[in-house]
Amino acid sequence: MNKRTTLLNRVSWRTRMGVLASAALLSCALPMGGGGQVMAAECPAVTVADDKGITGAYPYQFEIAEFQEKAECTLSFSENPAIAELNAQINGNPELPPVAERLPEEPLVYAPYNEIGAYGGTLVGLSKGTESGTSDLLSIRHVNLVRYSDDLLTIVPDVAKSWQWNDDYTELTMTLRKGHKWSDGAPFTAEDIVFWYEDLILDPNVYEKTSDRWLFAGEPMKVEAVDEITVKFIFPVPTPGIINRFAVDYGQPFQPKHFLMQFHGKYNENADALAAEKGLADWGELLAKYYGGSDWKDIPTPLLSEFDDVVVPTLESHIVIADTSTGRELVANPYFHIVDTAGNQLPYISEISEQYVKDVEVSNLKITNGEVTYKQQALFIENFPLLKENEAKGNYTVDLAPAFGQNIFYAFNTTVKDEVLREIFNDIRFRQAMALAMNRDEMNEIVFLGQGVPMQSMPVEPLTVGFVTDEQKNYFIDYDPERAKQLLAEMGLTDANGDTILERPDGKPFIIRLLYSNQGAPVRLHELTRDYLADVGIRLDLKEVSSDEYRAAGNNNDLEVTTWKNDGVAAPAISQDVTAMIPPFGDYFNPGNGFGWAAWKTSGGTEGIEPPEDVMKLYELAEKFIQVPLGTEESDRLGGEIVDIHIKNLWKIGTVGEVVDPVMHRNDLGNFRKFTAKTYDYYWTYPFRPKQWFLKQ
Amino acid sequence: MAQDAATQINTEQTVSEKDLRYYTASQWQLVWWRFRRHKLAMLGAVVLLIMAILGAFAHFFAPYSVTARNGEYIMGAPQIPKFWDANGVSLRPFVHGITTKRDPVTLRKIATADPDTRRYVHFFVEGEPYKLLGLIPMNIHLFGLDEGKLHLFGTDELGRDLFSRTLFATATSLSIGVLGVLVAFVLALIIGGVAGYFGGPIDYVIQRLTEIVRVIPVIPLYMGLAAAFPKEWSNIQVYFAMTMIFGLIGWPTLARRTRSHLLGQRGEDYVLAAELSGASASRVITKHLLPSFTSYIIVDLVISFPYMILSETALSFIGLGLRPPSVSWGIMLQDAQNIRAIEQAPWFFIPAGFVVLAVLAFTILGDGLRDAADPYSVSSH
Repeated sequence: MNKRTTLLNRVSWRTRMGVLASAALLSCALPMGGGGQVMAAECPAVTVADDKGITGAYPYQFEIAEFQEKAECTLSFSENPAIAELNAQINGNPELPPVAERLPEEPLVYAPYNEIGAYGGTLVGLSKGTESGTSDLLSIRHVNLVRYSDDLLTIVPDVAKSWQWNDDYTELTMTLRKGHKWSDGAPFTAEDIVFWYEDLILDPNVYEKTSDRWLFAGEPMKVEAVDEITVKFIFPVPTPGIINRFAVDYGQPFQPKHFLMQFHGKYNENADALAAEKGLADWGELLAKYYGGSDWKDIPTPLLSEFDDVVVPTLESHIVIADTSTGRELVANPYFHIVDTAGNQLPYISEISEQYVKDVEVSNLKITNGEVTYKQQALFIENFPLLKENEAKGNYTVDLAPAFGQNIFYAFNTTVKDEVLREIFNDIRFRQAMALAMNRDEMNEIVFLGQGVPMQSMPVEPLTVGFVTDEQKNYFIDYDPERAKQLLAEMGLTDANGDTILERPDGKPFIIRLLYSNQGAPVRLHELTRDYLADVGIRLDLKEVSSDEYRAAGNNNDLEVTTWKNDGVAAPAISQDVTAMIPPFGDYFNPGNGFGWAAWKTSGGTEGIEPPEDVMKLYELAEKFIQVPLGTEESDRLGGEIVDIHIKNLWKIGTVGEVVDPVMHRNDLGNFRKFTAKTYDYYWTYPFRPKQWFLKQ
Repeated sequence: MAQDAATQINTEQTVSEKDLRYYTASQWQLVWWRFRRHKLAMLGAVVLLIMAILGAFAHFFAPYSVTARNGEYIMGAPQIPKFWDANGVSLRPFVHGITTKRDPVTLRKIATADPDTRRYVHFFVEGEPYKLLGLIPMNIHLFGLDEGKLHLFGTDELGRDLFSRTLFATATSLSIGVLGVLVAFVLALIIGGVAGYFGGPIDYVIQRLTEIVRVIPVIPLYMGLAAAFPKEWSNIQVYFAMTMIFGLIGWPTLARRTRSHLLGQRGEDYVLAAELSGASASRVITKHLLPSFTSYIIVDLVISFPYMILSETALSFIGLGLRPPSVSWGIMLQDAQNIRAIEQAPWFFIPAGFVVLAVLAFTILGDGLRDAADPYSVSSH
């Protein structure tokens, strides 16, 4: 048994990847001289590369008071010289007050990685469509209450200045920044957080049903505004992992009350009339035009549908000014709350141009031609040689970073609508046969260029937790087609008519249709899987569809096999969200397996299919798992049990784990540091501080 | 005048055996003789014949099967057997042994030939078992290496032998073309023949029908039909369905031309004579009217092949045609439609050469056939 602690294991993967542990973490413990007297001197341009002996409580960033005290100086602020022009492009924004009035009284101070950047320029990025393949670029402008530092271990302040837990992890108090403003200049207060939860997440006019992820043991939390800058989250059960969610989640637990209340029936009794005026049924529909029923920031803005010419104010570093079917344009938020150590308001980069490119080949061409400033999402290792060989031509650099959860799975839908298939898929011998039919070493060589490790699928990323044993990783990963055939024969599946395809019990040929999107996994992997399955007598028909079609079919329980990478399985994700652990073993964007079971559970047993005992046990274990802090003995025990149940049942059949994937950035992108991980689970770029990136002229 | 007559008599007297054969030859013999002199067309015919043989006996000519992978040689370049190297001359062709390792920077698999090891090419070697023409179980392949694998056209991203795949693809693509054309051809002659011979209301109805078929946009129709193929269908069923679709779509042009020709001819005296002799309609059409039209029909037939082949290629290229692991030229070109292939493995485009070659060969063959079958062409024997 591998009984290392979480931290130890995390350090071990980090070291293995050759990433230096955060020096700042160690040095912050050193006593700092001086203090007390603040001198009105020019502040030193502290960077990560040259910290000039000044380090704060958290790696690479300071609270302004902390910085001024340690550097014995007073920071004077400056702004992007083009900020007035940028502001003019934001519809509805008034003229700008001076920068010192736009910043919070207590701005966050970033030490840039290498140098104080220069303002200006446009970052060009690629997405697949309005709501497809966008999270990579969203993460560049993203902010949340807190953030993971680039060591992926330390949680550091962002929108919130500080936070405090009570002893049993049921009460979290967050302190915001005094004078923090929305992108239209209106004050951001604790009320905006209460509004988000009470009036959006919990309001049945906005969400028909509150998403399970914002309920805790089935109960809502309580959000209280203690004063303007203090907010209290009170949970019905211990929820120690929620701080991790506030660090890595796409959703922001704050919405501009001052703006959205005009469309909200609770605050504006004329909201329904306003909706009727616009030809909408009720205020819920009207509100949805601005706050689209999810916390995703890529939901179509009113600009796209030409419903309105204003967008919802934001706290992010950039705000959308144009939204069309071919892309989005964004400009810097003039009220952004972070400055660098020289007092320059971030972000340095003035504009972001997000272009939609569906075709992966076009996307590759744009990259090799040097038309793209930065991209990581949907860059697969199969194209790494191509990208690497064209580095000089396109003036960019492509690195490899460990991709968490990239162990691509094949899940044979155990609650599939076709009853004959369902019976077969529910037989563990079938799933074992499928696991044995795959030649993972060959997959690794051909698809992952030999960089991965053959591994079974599990609802946690073994690189980020300490409780996964080698035994679990290696369960049923041997390539043994003969044994697979034997298992199938034991089930009574034989090829009676000699056409090399087995017959199902109802006499039809055993054919499984695999719909896939190229966003989920490299196509070559599916081709190999098709060949492996053909070798044991099962015809797998491949059909490529868009991610949207795949997801729609998956969530409608129309897929016979689902295949994708595993999202939401790294430590911060599983510490607060058990989506990956319980049916359907994934979310809307990454449908897994057992939709019928999930339906049974949510409907209280009136719909769907009654789950087997193991699944019932999982529900129980998962609920306990998120109530204990990750890395404790109890957490490891529960986690180990959960993994065990998953492994033994092979609901998702794993392929190759510990995969690395490409991350590209053009060489004119300054202050870019090689990523220590390429993963949605820490929200892509968010830990790597894209706000201090700049474009070299 | 008198001199002319004398010459004629003289000629008649000295009529050679060759001339005699010419004058007594059947129509088809005449066509063949004229065709034989058309060197380019003969070349086209030979090329197509070779392709057909390679395709029909692909299992024998191809050293490996369609899905066999060589993990040691992924995206490998074509290997060309040689007869000599620095170590001297060999009567038996050989290739150098290959070691592959990954480039540490680009992670690309680089194959390096070891100039000191030779892998000899052997003929009639035993390999994967197969059934020749689907009937005769065999395991002899035309050639193979004594050790390792030989990839004349290189390998694809899964390490599959492109030469073998091209041969199997040739069989699929050519046969779809031939079958599709035959279906279209028979339909065209029947429909066009009936319409042209009978005329009147029958003609009217058939013409409107033809128009309906003609205005259906082809690619969307293919897409719709291909998407509608039930998933249970095996590749062979999909294959025949596609053939039928091509045939059912392909007939209107030839049918129209047949009809207008017959409309023009049916009033001629020889048709009347045949009718008065009691010949049935089908006999009049097939024995009297259509032969007057042979040269055109032949040309149309031969020129249609490339369209069929290109349709299949196009359909498979956009992913709607045959499904892997069946392989056709279109499917192979589909594999080549990415930048990796263009930049790093240009040999993925070799099947495109086959498409071009086949289309060219059909075209010049059609050209030669038309010249040969045209009764009005100058016939110097």
